[in-house]
Amino acid sequence: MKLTIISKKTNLWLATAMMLLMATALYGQSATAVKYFTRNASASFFSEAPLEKIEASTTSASSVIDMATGNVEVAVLIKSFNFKKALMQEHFNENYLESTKFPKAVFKGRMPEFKSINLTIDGKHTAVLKGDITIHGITKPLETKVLIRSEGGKIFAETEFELIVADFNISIPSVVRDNIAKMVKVKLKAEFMELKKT
Amino acid sequence: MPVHWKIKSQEMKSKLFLAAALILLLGGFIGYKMWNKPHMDISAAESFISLSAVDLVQAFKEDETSANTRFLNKVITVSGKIAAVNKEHNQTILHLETEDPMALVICNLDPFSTHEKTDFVSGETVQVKGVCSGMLTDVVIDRCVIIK
Repeated sequence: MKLTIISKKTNLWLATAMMLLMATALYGQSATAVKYFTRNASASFFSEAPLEKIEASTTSASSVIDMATGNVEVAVLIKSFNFKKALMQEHFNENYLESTKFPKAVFKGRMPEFKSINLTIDGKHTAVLKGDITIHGITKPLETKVLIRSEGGKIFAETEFELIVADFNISIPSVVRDNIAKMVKVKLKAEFMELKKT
Repeated sequence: MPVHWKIKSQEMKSKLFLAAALILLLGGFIGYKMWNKPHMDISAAESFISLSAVDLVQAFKEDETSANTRFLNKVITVSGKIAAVNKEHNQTILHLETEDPMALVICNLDPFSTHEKTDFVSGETVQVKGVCSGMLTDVVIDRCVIIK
């Protein structure tokens, strides 16, 4: 009887010690688990068809990189895209992307080899980014290569990929179909800052 | 058919041709004008509502859907204290303070307007007019012009 009590006690001690150990381990990890953030990433897209060249950009895309999990998120407001031609911007928002109904485009994904990347020291990396992109209410898988450069505590990232317009249920009237390219090249460029929790 | 009829129909034909050409030309001109329609002149545009950066973010946080219907794509005037100035991508971007340091109001100065003032410092109070594009983590106002 006594023995069991002692063993229970030691068990309790052991459990506490284990918990403490785990807590320190977790704490240690969270100290290095850095998140990077930007609210001024630039996003632009470009398409070229025989008759029309379409180009637009915004500088208010936001993005978060979590180096503890390798998770990456990018969001952009459709209405914030600026076109040279006002009419194009109007058609883009009202007819094609229906930005009142779908105000945002979002990418959620992760960098599978994030563990081999250390952003706390200066250097250049190429990472694969895998995830899903949602535009116009339609979600499609996306894989792209990202160039990441860390320099003096700042993180610069850049990527480029192509999207097929038809994938996102964007209907283009047949009259102008040939004037609008089927593929759109998208470019993202961002300068990240360390996110400090207060 | 009598000769004078023939002349008349020829006259008609040339008149018709002229009218068609005029319509085409006018159509082309209108089309061209529409195609090259300028961007809305923000400085001249009437502001739909004037509010503080704090209230704007609050409205979006409380109910994003209803805030979207209220503000999205509308010309609004926002006043607030500059938290930071960003000059990335050849653009001036002002971050306006709110009660939440993670949810600011971002004002992108209009790339199609000329601005009298492009240098700002943190702590300055400004009033800007622009088009509300919605909220990501922050509420974004595009095509901003400075009122004061």
